[in-house]
Amino acid sequence: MNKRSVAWLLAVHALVVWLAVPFRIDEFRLTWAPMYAIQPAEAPERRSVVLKDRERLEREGWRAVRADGGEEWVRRADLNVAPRNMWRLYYERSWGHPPPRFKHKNSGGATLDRWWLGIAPGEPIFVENWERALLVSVNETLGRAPGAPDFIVELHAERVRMHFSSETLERLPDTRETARLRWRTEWNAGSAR
Amino acid sequence: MLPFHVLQYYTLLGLDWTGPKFWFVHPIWYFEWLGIQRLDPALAALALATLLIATTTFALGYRTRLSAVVCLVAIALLKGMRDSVAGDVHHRELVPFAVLFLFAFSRCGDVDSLDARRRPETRELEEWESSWPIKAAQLHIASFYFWSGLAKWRMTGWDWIRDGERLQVLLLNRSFRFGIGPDGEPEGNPLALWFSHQTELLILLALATFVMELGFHLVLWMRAAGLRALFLGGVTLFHVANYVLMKVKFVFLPVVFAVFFDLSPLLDRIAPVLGRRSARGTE
Repeated sequence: MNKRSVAWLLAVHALVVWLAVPFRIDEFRLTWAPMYAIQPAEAPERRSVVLKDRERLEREGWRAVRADGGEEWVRRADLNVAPRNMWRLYYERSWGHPPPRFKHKNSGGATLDRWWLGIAPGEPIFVENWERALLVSVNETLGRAPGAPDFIVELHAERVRMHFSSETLERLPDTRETARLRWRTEWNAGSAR
Repeated sequence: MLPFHVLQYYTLLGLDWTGPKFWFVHPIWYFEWLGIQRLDPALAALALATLLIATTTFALGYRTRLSAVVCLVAIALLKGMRDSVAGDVHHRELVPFAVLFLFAFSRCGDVDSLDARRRPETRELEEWESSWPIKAAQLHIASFYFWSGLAKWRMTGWDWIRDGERLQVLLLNRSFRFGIGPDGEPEGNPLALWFSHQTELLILLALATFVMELGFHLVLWMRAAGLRALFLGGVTLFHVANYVLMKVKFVFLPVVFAVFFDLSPLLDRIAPVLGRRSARGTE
């Protein structure tokens, strides 16, 4: 490459990369927003931590209800995903908790990207139905089609949340939370994605 | 970069090659465009092997630019397969990817490489041809930290610093997320738990993180190699501490500092001192 083409390459590269900053484009390989800046305390008076029971995900996972009424466990090995991915699916997406970049993108009021996309200040930009996405994923992975008797229509998850006082970080009683994801018949007609 | 890549993708090697192919919950944007819907464990293993081989040939300068392009494709594939499963996008490859991208357009394999031995008749390198990819990489690395600081500022403002709450939540999370062991200690790093109790220290660390990230571009103007080394050493310590306390896998990233920010004047100054000491030792 000659000097001129290198100058063009660098100018276009810099323009694309830096334009992503005001437009808050947190997509690989443009700018990034760290995952660790978005975890505020649950409440000012306490801190909380969701327990990730690795053994449980290997042994049981979600309790699934099939269309024929039968029940089964959907474990990590059944989905063939890495442990960290399984934690995120089970302990976050099951509760409709989105990835951090969704929170980054949807935060703030009158932002440049909202103006560009014609979205009202404060309205979310990224919207995903995690309940449907997860049920589609599990069924597609296991090769089960809507209407089949073994199609999974419900997923049940359970998690324990530890609490600590914000003053002294003293342990407070744990709480148990449950999530129930249910397939809706109107989703049968739509595409998998 | 070999350990860096292994640390990013080794979990994909634990999957059953003949098992089910997971249907992505939220594919990364280029998988969405390409219509890639499933995680193929055998393809992931092949891509990781290819990445490691291409990284080695790139370092040796064998078919250097082609190796850079192969690395880019393999990283995109591996990253897509790992991140599309649950929809999280990890950015640890952002710097290596940008650097390889710029190098793919440069004459990086034309000197001190196996390529140069194969093609000794190659035209001599001009100064600007060797310096532009390095300068561009420096700017990108500095910008990477700046964007991080900017995003933190946008999301949290002064809350990041105010009472150390954000860091405290993170550290508590990382020490207790796998529960408590039979000895009553958290399954995670007990040091993280100790840090979570040190509010003043957390405020100081949060402030230092902000200053480092938002001020990273200053390193481009630091003329004294010692000062540069001090700053970059601090950032390296930051990444090591992040890994030890919170398992944040940027730990091998500081290798780019040694490559792209010229620390040789410092080494030149230290080398004679070390030489004298070793000479005295052998007397």
